[in-house]
Amino acid sequence: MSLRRVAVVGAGMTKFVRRAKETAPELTYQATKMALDSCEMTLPQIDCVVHGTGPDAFDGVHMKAEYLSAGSGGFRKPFMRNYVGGGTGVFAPIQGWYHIASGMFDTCLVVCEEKMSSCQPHPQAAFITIFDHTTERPLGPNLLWIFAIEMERYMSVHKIPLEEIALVSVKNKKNALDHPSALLGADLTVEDIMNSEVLAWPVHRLMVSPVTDGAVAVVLAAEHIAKRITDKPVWIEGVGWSLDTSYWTSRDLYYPKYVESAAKMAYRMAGISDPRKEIHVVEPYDPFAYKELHHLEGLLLCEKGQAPKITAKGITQRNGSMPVCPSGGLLGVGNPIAAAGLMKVCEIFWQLRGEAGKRQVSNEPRRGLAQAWGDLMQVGTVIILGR
Amino acid sequence: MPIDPKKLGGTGISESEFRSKKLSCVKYTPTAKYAWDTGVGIGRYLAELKNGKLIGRKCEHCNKVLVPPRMFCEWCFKPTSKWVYLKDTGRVNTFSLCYVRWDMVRLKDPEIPAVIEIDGSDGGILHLLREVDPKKVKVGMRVKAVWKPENERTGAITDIKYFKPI
Amino acid sequence: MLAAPPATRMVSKAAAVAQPLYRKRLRRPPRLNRKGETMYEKKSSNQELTNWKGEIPLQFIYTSGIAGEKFFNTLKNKGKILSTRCEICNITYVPARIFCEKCFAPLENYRELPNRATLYSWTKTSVDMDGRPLARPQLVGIMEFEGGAKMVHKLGDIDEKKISIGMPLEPVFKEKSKREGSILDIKYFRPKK
Repeated sequence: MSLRRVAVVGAGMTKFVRRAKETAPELTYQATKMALDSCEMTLPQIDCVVHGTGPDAFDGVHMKAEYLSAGSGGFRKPFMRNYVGGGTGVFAPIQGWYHIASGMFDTCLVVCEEKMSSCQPHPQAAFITIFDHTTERPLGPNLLWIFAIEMERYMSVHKIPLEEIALVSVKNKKNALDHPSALLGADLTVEDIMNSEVLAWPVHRLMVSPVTDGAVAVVLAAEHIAKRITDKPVWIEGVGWSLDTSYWTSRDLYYPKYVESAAKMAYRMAGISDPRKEIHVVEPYDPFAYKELHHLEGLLLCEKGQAPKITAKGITQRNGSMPVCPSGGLLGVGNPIAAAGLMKVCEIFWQLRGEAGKRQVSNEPRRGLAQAWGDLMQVGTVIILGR
Repeated sequence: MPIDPKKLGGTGISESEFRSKKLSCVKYTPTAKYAWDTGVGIGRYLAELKNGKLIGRKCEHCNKVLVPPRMFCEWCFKPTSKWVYLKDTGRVNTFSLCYVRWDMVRLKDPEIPAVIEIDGSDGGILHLLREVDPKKVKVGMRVKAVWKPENERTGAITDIKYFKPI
Repeated sequence: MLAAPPATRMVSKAAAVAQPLYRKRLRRPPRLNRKGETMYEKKSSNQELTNWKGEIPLQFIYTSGIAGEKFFNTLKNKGKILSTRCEICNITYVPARIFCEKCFAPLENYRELPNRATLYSWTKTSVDMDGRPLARPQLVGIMEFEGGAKMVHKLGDIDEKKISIGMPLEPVFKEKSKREGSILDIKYFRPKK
């Protein structure tokens, strides 16, 4: 397979806020402009645009990506939209990667944006349409059911106490205090998490990241251009994506098989045989505290059931041997559905270049992994970056 | 280039500002009404629910009984072969105690959604548990369906009112 | 599935007489059964194909944004149309925007345009959003402002027969006390007197 090497050369994002005053195109523009300015590129130098954005029902605008295309630089350019739930944030750069790797384009702007606050009474109302309209929706479900149900299964199969899961919230919210865009950074204890309101047992309020508005953008370039733009290109070394069945009640939810398939695809492409040793910083998708642990196991970075143990030992702290979510993750920074995964890709980008400021991990990483998850607990998307 | 906090876009507004008349905005309620075809598999499933029975579909190749029934098996991608009647008992695979409604309004008594592995099948269905103390619900608990009376059944998943422990 | 007979084939006289009839039969629509269903819609006896009705209950609050807020406040308070202009690309935007779509430059020079426009294109609509007939047909058009900016709005106080592309128009605003900061603060565009 002769594919060209592709690098991430620039990144930008807006603040993640609970409800943004800007319209969605304005928010998108702010992130895209910051990404272009960060590598001193201009819009005419961009060959194509890949845009990841959530369901039209969030914004209440049909053909939403086209509506946003002005702000994402899509003016009279090849433009493609994708959406795989929360997995979009990592799938969009994968899509940008194959635009360039194929040889069709030399530069690509990857933009992800979400403005969920427009949806009333709560964006959850748009989410419940993910349930089967005939066999599940009449029961009056809400989105929290599926995550709480998955969390309960994970906890009961591996006998994990809730306090060990709360440690993830504590770590990520504390990490987020050093992220300028963060919405939810806070210095909390396990007790604070356990005392917070129970939304859907076993999920407590401080174990969930709320709906957020935000936009993130990265600039990708082919090898010969990347080397001219920057002396610190971050190469895309592996990509993987996989989808599981939407008949979710037929799956055993304690283990995310779809994340494992996506991770294996990415490891094979990057030539990684021992991920635990060869990946130095990880940003798994953590909209719920237990998801970070669930995904670490799915990414084959620890044995099944062992993720809470390595968290308790401090291995996943910023100064640990395998830092996890040094940005603060979704629990700390916020969760604009499609943009959150790209925020993680940006974090790996900055970490590998040594530009993460106070969030910089101490183990001098040369390879990082970002993973996102979405739909009806179905999709796993993985990207491996290296220097 | 690292993030320059002064140049970050995104202006947050508070809940009260969002709802106030001073915010320049437009409000809109679309009419989004649907009539979804149930299809062949679910059409039969609903018809059997009206008769007070649960039905699944067998995949000979994988030797699995799928419920809710589907006309093709997503594992081997072959058509499923025959209808199989199932008992209305099962085992709780996982559950949750949910204290909020779909629009985030708080509930006093929790709803208990659960994935129930139906006896005789290799799948599970989502349904509610009732007549049980929330603190006593456990994974692995055996449950049985409580049906609506025959004259109230309409051919919907809600023809089973809930599952209760046996 | 019925197959069309081959186009060229030597046939006997009897078959040649039969063939046109066979062709004729093909052209007739599929036969309906007693219930009024075609073979393609035949329902099998032991299952009922039904549909499940539902809706997606959502409402939306769309913020006007940074530029939009300025635009609508100008409509409401001053009865003027606010634009921004990209000098690099020579493009004027109405309603005002914070960035140029073409070159991505940030735009900060807001300018109130004079209240005049020309008609770029127009149409007459007779049905509403759901396809139901309107009580009175509506005239809508694209108005072109100074600098080439264009905006959709209604046409009013106008004789349909005298409409021509390029004709000069002016906006008619609601009374100041009745304006709400919405695009409907302009009632319509009418021929400039």
